[in-house]
Amino acid sequence: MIHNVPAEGIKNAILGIITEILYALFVMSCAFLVAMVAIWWIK
Amino acid sequence: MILRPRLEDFKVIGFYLGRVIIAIGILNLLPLLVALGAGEINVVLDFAISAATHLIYGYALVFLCRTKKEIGWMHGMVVAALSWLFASALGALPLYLSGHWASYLDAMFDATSGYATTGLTLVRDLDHLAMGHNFWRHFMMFLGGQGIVVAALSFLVRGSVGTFTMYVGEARDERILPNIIHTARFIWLVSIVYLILGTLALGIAAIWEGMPTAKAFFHGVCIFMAAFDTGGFAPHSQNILYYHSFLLETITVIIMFLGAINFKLHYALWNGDRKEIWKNIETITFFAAIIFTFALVASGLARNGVYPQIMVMFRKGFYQLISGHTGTGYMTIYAKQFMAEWGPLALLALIVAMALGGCACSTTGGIKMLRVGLVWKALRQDVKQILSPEASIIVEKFHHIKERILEDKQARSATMIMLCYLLFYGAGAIIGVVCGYPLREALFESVSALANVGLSCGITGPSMPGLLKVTYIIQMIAGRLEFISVFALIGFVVAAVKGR
Repeated sequence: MIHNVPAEGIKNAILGIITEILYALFVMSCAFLVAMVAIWWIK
Repeated sequence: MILRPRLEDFKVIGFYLGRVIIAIGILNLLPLLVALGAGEINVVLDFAISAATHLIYGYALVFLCRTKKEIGWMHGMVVAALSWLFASALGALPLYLSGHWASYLDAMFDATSGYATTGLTLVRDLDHLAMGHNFWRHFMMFLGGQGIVVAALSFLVRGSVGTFTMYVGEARDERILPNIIHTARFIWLVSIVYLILGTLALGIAAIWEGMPTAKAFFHGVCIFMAAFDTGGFAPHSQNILYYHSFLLETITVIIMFLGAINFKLHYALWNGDRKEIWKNIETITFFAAIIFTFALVASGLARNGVYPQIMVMFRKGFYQLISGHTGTGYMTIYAKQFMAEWGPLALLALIVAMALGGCACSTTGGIKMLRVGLVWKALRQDVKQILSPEASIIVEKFHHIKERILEDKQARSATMIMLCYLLFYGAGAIIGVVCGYPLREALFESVSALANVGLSCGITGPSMPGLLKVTYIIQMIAGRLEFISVFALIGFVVAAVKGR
């Protein structure tokens, strides 16, 4: 738990933030692929 | 038979409402300090008047309604709804005093839009608005996104079993930690950590694009507050288009996405359960909904040849889609371009994305992914039941922090709220049409207001009819509170008039 073990908690929180940002980037990358496919398919 | 509320019920409601108003009054001091730092003396006076008004109303209510009775479910719901009404009415005061809003109704529209994290605005000449007022617009979003009651619970209202009802009344039906005060403080911890990181990232990006340092960080903090809380206000009238920066757009997409994530999921991830993001019903549904709606938007735009280059499609098409889906309302195009360029398929997909919204217990509006996921599971369970032998019992499971079995109660609740959203989307569109706007525009704007998105196709402006302004104010509050506490307030008023 964050409030019980500060050092472990901070490490987990940082890794959690990185996971969230990476997930957002993953969604963006998938959307970029969708845009590529849509333009290629319509052309 | 409806029971008429007793004097003691009014006192409990007044007492807790007073505490919430006092908390907002104290928070008015922050924009006052910003104005003081910027040397805007008239703006300092505006916020001094506003803070004093909040404190006078708040302390008068606390003094007149002091009681030892514990707050119950009905009281909590009514307090939550009234807190939002009073906060919007009083939050409009400094805006109205600035002279940038044509009437008090217009200022209240923007205050409601700010607290409800919508982003629709009736401001005139935004580009010359004082720093203090501009900060207040964004700060209202930061307060409203986390929740006015959550802010009061974190800083002022003493924790008790009953205060949980106020928290639920504010559409936060998930308890993250056993203690409600700890839950409220965790929500603020996440927001403040991201506030620091996001402001730094946006400030550096703005400096990179050539903005002076102080202005860059002021814009950074304002944009962060409106992006993370999926609000949509921006310091300039051109919104995010003002910056013409791919870097800034990418950062805001990440921030909008983070704001649309369930605080309970933040808690799981921040405590080491990083696999949760791949298993959770909300993130899976959210991902599927984004890809599905963006595929439609991209097909519609590509078919019309609107953005023939991939990068432009991404920066204009995907940006508007993710902004609408997360309920933010940031725009990198002009409002009129939606109707003039986007075409019916792309527009329809965007309306669907806005109507669906982000995750439950986040800062977004709309139906929300958890409900969409649960309704989908319930539908699947019913179809499986029909196809199976009559004596068989079909159990549907889903993963949300832990493995759960879908119960009828959950499916009913999700379906009921979804139905309320659909009815109110339609009702707002009908009023728009009555006011003389075409159906497509009226539906777009109604969904944007009720789902607290803030994308506009051009209807929202100081010259729109008063009826529509009031309709959107009601929609913004009802959508933010997810109906139940608003219905409880209406029921309370009916009981006070007709009860025995």
